[in-house]
Parts: sequence; C-alpha cells; structure tokens
Amino acid sequence: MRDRTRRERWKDVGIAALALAALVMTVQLTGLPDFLRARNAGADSGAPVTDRASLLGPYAAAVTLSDGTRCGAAWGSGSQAIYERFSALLGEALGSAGNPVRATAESWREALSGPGAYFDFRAQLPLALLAEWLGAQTPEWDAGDSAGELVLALEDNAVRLYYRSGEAWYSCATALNGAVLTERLGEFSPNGAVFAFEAGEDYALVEDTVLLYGSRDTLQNYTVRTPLQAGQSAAELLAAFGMNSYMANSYTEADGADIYVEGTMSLRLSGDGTVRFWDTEPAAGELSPAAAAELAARTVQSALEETMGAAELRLWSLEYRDTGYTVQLCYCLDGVPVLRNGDPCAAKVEITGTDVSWAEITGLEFTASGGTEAPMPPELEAALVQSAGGGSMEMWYQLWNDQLRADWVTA
Amino acid sequence: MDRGKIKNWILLVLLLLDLALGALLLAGAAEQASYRKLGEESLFEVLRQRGLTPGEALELPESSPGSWHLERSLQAEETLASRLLGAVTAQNQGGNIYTYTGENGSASFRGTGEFEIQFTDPLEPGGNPRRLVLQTLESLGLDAREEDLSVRDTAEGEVYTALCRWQEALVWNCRVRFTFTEAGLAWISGQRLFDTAGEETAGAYSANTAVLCFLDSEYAGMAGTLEAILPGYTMSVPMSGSCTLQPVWVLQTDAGYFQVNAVTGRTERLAE
Repeated sequence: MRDRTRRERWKDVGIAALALAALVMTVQLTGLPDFLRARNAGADSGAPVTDRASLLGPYAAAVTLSDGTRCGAAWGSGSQAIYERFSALLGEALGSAGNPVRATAESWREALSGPGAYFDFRAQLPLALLAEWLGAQTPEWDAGDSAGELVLALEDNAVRLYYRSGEAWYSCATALNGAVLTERLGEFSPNGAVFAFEAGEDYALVEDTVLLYGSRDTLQNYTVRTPLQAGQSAAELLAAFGMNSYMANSYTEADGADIYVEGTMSLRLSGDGTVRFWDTEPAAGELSPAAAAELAARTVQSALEETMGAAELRLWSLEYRDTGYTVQLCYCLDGVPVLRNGDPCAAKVEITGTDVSWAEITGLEFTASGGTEAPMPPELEAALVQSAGGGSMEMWYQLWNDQLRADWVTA
Repeated sequence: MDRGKIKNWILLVLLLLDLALGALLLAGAAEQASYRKLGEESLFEVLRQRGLTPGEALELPESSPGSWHLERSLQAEETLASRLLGAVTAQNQGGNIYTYTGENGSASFRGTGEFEIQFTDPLEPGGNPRRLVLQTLESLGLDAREEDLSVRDTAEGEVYTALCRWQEALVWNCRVRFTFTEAGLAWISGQRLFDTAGEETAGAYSANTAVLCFLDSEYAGMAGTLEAILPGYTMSVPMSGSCTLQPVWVLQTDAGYFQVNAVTGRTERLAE
C-alpha cells in the first residue's frame, strides 16, 4: 500500500515536471522572450524622462588647446560634440563657483585666447538653471544671474569660470583642478578656428566671439507645413495638457478655431497651427528653475512629438516671474535654431506654482527635402559685417512665410 | 479506468509531447546556427573583397550588449573611501566634488566619475603588486582581470593601469591608475563606474553591422587583418552624477584597435 502511494506520488511529480518542461519549451518556440526583450528596447532604463543633453546646449563652442591652437564650430554638430565632453565639467564649475567678480573686456579676451573651453548659448540663461540642469547645486551667491556665453579658463593650474551677462563680464574661482581641464583639452585636435578679435584689423568691428574658420557642417534643406495640414489629432494635444478629449466640451469659433474646455483648463486650436492653453487654477507650490524648464519642455514635446518631423526642441530662455517662470523653446534643425518671422519661439510656456498655467505653441512640421546647402563661410560673412560698420552674426534657419533657408543673421 | 492507469497515459502523452517540442527546439537551434554560419561566411567574403583578411580565430559574437544608465550614490562612495582609508570625514567642495579624509589618507570623488586617492602610508604590495591592484579594485567596487592590467615605469615609480569591466565586457574609457613608489601603493587615480544601475536597454547594432560601419569609415584602409571583434562599452557623462554606458564593438586589427559605437555607428581609432 505504501509502495503504491509512493509510486503515485512519483507519478504526480513526473506529470508536473513534464508539464512544466512542455510549457517552457512552448514559450521558447513562440519567441515570447525575444518579443518582450524587443519591447523593452528604448524603454526607460532609469535615465531622466526628458533628454537634457539634447534640450539644452550651446549653438557655438570652441576649445583652446594648451599650445594656443583651437578647435571650434560656429554652428551644428561640431559645437555639440565639444559640449558633450565638457558639460559635466561646466556643471561642476558652476556648482563650485565662488563669488563672481567683475571682469574687464581685456580679461575676457585673455580667457578666450588661453587654454580652455567656450560655449555660446545665445539667449541669457539663469546660472541656477544651468547648474541644476548639469547635475550640480546652485551656487550659494546666486542672485538670479544669467549668462549667454561662458568660458572654462585654465589659469595657474586652476579652473576659472568666466561668463558674459548682458554687456558685463564676470569671473569666479572654482574647485576644479587644472589637470582635469588640461586632460580634457588634450582630446581635441585643432581645426584652425579663431575668434574675430584675434583675426586682426580686418575684423576689428566684428563681435569678439564670432568664430571664423573652424568646422562647418553643410546644412540640409527642409520644407515646413503646419501639422493641421498633416492631420494632427486634437486628442493628442489635449492629452499633452492633461485634458481628456471625451470629457472636454468643445465648440468652434467664428474664425474656425476649435475651443476645448474642461474644468479650469481651456485649449484653443487655430487654423494656422497655433495652440493656446490656459489654466485659471494651477496647483500651488514651487518648482526649481530646472524642474520648471523640464515641465515646460515635457509638455511641449508631448504636444508636438508626433508632428515636428525632423526638428528637435531646444530650451531657448527662462525668466523668473513673481508666481513662477516663463520658459521659451525653439525648434532646432541640425543643431541650428529656427527663426520664424524674426522670432525664435516655437513655444512660450508660463509655469505658475507647479503647473503650466498658460502656453502658446506654434505647431510646425519639418521634412528633409533632399539636398544640402553650404552657408557662406563665417570669415566671408564677417568681412561683410566689418564693411557694414561691425556687429554680430549668428547662423539660423530662417522661416519667412513658408520659405525656410539657412543663413547668417547680423545685428 | 483507475487513476493510476490515467496517470500512466498522461505521463506517456506528456513525454511524447516533450520529445516532440525538444526535437523542434533542437531543429530550430541548428537552423539558427546554420544561418549564423552563413551570415559569417558572407561577411568574411565582403571583408576579403574590401581588402581585409579575417583572422583565423575570428568569430562573430552572437548577442549585442545593450545600454545602461548608472547613477552616483554618495553613500556608496563614502563606503568605498572608508574601505581603503579607514573611518572618513566627508566634505562637499561644491559642484558635486566630495573629499573624504581618513586615517590613512584622503580621497576626492567627482560627479564625472573621476577620482583620486592618496595614502599617507603607502600600501605594501607584499611582493605581488598585481594582486594588490586587483584587491584594491575589488574594494572600489570595480571589476577587472589580470589580463586587463598594463604596467609602465615613470619618474614617480611603477604605474599599473587597469581597464575596468561592466557585465564582463571592457569599458574602454574607464581606466584606473595605481602608482607604486619604493614604499608601496602611494596613490590611485582614474575613472570609476557609478553605483546604481537601471535596466539594460537593448537595440544596438550587431557585430556584423559594426564591421560594415568600419568598412565604410575613413579607417578601413589602414588595416590588413581583422583579428577579433570584442563587445564593450564607452562611458559618457552628460551631467554630473549620471552616466550612460553605450555599447561599442572594438575591432582588433593588425593596425591597432578601432571602436565602432553600436548605437550611432561612428568609428574612431583607439589609443594604444
């Protein structure tokens, strides 16, 4: 009897084992593990939700090597490649910067000419935003200072941070060891780039930090249209702002614009692709500059993700308000920002408390049309600027009506 | 029919089913192996046509490494420092630079992963500096093997350089240098991998595709023989305290090592 019981138990074990083996082999044969692995490709690996590296970066950058030669790019992927090697160092410099002291134009030029790295963000960005964006703490002395151009300069085996705020220059000591910067500089080879002030009397009236020679990407040709022409979905737009297309009431105005209202939130979708959103009761609270910038970027990205086409979004500026922030974002093609009817703004977002309280987004879809163009070399453009009495020059994709063209903009 | 006989029939059916499924799996594996072999031979033919000879021992790795995202942990860092220096006091220098001062020296760790440790009393190698280097790497939470060590003489003393590994694959820009004076191991400097990892993200180029990217690059004409293809990583630190391990394929040739980024396809020459 006991033998029989033991035999039956062994049979039960055998049935369970064989059934499990059959299940495992069946799963293997269906390819389910590969399917699940493929589904995880691109899923969150623990990285921040918004790609900070692509959302904020300089439009021009240069590295001056220890022997005084330079590698620089006035636009495009070259400037991004330089920034990638220095972004974390810049964050460390900002986070460990001592009290800023006023610098002279002369010391600014010396910092540019000596070993170090230069970054041109064009718009004035709060130093607190830059520091936090790059993973560092805001300097204790920060009183809302902003900068459009920054230099990490090697001086006496230490790293000094220089920045230009409006028409004034400042410098700060940092906790960075000079050897660290020297090692990073050694990764680059010179490409002949020079700053305008180093190029002699022929460019004496041109803005100091205009980069001549150096690397120059050819730029692709693009066409542009409004996403509405491409059949953009209102439901996707509503979802980007936390509205529900099933719950929202909608009506059409006399000019053809569609209005959606849900509680305290409203969204207006115009025929020209402009989206306006407002929330009359945003949640109370306080966000740091970087958190506000991320919220604005995330909201606009959600609204435009399926319709931007070949363009990327970039942070353009952030300004403080009494109740929050105003964040502006621009479109970017091949590392060059887009100027639309003289305005770089793809989206303007007001953050009040911890919510988006107002936003205006210009929806545009960019498509590569084949072919490339080589913009006028910066040294030739600078000669024209010099002969016109001097000034600055920047590379933009300019959109006038429906025509898009990469060209220099002088001021 | 009694339960015992029913179970016998169930066992027989399941056994036959398992045998059939097993045969199908084996046939599938054999088919995949033959496709892999065919792919390998086709690639070798392309290499020969482009003037690159496949080495006799050349094999194409089957799986591609994925990307990893690692974050710094200050707590883990303090623990590492205390393992080598004794009880430490941490000080924030600003900019995510932390120094740790202990009984036997001081250490500086940065948000880029770069670090330095200086010993007040150099550590005795006990006649076997390689073993001390490997033990110290383990204390620092880094993985390296004896074959990953190289040594050279400098004015300061003997310097051992270790190339670190992640998931058993080399991280080609993650090096740690150990400087030995006459008294022993005096200081350590280099790049470390951060402490906490997210999930692996798949979706990188295969070894075959990496070889094709190399053939399309400016470096293709430099090499005559392709000796090996090694999976690995390159560490990128876009912001302080956070890094990404991007998968790369390193091609070992008679002209040196070339690295192909398995995400972008970009090829560059590695320094020796």
